[in-house]
Amino acid sequence: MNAMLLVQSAVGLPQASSYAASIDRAFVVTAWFAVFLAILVAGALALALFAPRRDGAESEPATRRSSKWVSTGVAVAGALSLLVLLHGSRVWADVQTVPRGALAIQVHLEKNAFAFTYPGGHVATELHMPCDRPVKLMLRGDREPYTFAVPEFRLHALVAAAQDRDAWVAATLPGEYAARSTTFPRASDAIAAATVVVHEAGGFEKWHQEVSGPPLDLPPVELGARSYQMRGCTQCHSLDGSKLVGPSFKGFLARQHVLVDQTVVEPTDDYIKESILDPTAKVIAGHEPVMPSFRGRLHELEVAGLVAFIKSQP
Amino acid sequence: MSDTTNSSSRTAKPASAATASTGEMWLFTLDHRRLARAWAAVTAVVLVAGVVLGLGLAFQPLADAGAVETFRRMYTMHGLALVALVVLPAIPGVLGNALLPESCGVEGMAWPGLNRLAFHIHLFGVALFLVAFSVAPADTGWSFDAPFAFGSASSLAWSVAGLLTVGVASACSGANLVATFVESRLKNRGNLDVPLFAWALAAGGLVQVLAAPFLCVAAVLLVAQRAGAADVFASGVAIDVSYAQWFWAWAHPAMGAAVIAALGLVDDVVTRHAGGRAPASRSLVLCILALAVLAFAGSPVHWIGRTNSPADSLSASALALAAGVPFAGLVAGWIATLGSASPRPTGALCAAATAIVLFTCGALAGLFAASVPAGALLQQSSFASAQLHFSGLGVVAALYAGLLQVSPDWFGVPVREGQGRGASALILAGTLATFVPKLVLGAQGQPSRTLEILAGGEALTLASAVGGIVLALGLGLAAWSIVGAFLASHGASNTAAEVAP
Repeated sequence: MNAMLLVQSAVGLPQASSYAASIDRAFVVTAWFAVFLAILVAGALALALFAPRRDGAESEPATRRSSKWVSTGVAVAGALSLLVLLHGSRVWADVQTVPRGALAIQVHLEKNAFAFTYPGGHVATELHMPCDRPVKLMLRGDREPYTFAVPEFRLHALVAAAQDRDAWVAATLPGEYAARSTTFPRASDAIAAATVVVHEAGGFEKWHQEVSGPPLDLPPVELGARSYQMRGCTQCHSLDGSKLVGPSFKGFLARQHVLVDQTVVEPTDDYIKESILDPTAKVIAGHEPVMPSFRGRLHELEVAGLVAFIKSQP
Repeated sequence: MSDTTNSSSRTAKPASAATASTGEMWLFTLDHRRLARAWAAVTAVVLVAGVVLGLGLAFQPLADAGAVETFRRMYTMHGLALVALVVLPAIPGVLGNALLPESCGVEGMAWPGLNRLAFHIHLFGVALFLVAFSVAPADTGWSFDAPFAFGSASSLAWSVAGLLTVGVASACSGANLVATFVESRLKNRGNLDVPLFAWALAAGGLVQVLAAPFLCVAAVLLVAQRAGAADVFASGVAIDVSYAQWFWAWAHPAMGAAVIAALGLVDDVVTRHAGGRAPASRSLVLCILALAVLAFAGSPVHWIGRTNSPADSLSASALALAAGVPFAGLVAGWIATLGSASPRPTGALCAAATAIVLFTCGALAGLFAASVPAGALLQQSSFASAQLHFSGLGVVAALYAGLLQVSPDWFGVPVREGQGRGASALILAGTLATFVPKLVLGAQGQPSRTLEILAGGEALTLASAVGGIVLALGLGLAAWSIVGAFLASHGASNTAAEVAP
């Protein structure tokens, strides 16, 4: 136990996941073996080289009586290696096996920055996690290899190019941590990094509900109104007719919709839906095609709700 | 080439060729002893350049100066120069030539022409690297890591050509070592009672020869992929893994061969100091042969951890651990021999002891990589880079031990004892001071090959850089001690020449 504390203070990292302690133990056991053997070898060499010579030792021929020692060395190292491997593989099996019922979060690397996709489709640049509950990280392969590492969790997953891999972690200490890719950065010198937020009990569920959008069982217009507020529509589309980046929703049905190529479209449900999922397909004259697509980011009912909400604007 | 010229060239003493021009004496000689010195001179120059680059690398992150591109080019040059031009070829080239024929009890190398050709090819490789470093420096790291190497904007042509050329030279040297060993044993009616050094050089040589084709394949794949010829890699396997399989199928055995040769050299120094050389015991020979086999079997360590199978990771760890077992046998044997003989700690013996301690540190750092969960944390961290440096500097220390051993024979005067001991102590202290902090930083998650220092890692980074100065001083003193003996011998022979008439 003292050994554990010693190395921990040397490494200086808290154990913030369920398996961190067992990995540290594997590390510490190895470290003590290594330190012991290094001192043994260096000490024995120093003694052989610099100890006062015995009388008559110089005249002794080089006896190759060392064979016995060679076999002993091989046996000791073999046994030690087997011990390290067996202990390590038991810990490894635990680290590799994703527990059932783990919360699944997808991890992508996009333009040298991490992106996390939560159940329900919300995408964030921060990794939010519950405490004391296993999380399955579905690491999506990029064009280039990367690692997803959080030292406090003792999590370090190397993802080969164009291959997916799963990792898991159950955080045990609420707080903020830094995740980073330790892979040699390619396109720029910036190493991909992200903040990891481990919530207190119940905190993650609350956060997830907030970002995931409104409850889907609301009446369509009300659901649309909530989505309009929560999904960032307000930044570009006003309700009072003032011109922002995108067209206002005021009097949507009563207005004429003239596109950049001067054709006129009818404000049908399909047209509004298309403008949400594929915004650059038809752009209203006087506006730039800058709106991002919401395909895959909104629930079908939310899209229907937004259509109803937009049509309902006086 | 007739037998008579062969034997005359083999027996020619350097001193008897006083009338030949310097070029004939050193560049075009077939004499293996003289070639050994030519190898030593070339290696020493590259070593100094590589160490200066290494010091620059140690301080650049601290100074927060210079562009990333410069940093990348510097570590690529540092790695290529020291791995390809010092660690891999030095011991076969310098001490293989100087000591193998004598160890085997023959006059010279089996194929003196090929021996000289190997040196010439190596020189051509050095020239290619010089062009590469001055005109078109690569920025990919010495292992041309894929897929970065496929898309890197820097020109790789000269560097890849240089590495390939040097690899071919090593294979030629290796073939010669094997042939010399086999020929000498056939002449001696199959008597296998030769010193361990001969076994180690032959085993290392064989590994070099067998590994070389993999380097050629890796180079062809790299060039083809960059030329856009086609997607040359099999689908279904990640491209970085696929390339790594070929590259490390050469690099891991080649590094293994260098370490095996160095271990043989250490054994040579130890046994000579323990009261004379004796035929290697069977157990030690088995240890060396096991290391040669594991040099090949261990290459998956470099790529297998990147695939997603836990079973692969386990087998890679087992292979990495296995290499430590015969090594432990060798170390135990040396300690027993030294303990029973209590020899005087000469410079050569101190350098050999430094090599033993550094190889031990490398092997023990390998324990972490091999303990599966710990190893996964350390991938691509500065821990792995430190481990490589322990092995590389172990080879350099062994090389120095060998040079101190042959220096009385070469120069007529031994290297000053104090200088030899001091250089060995500085190399040991400097290497530990430079790379033990890197082990700790790596355990904290510090990636290698970046200018970024992890928060809280500044003190250790500084300590490591200061250690680098000590190490550079040690290597400088080592080089100076050899040059000093060379100058002393020249001074002595000049005065002798003046006095003689």
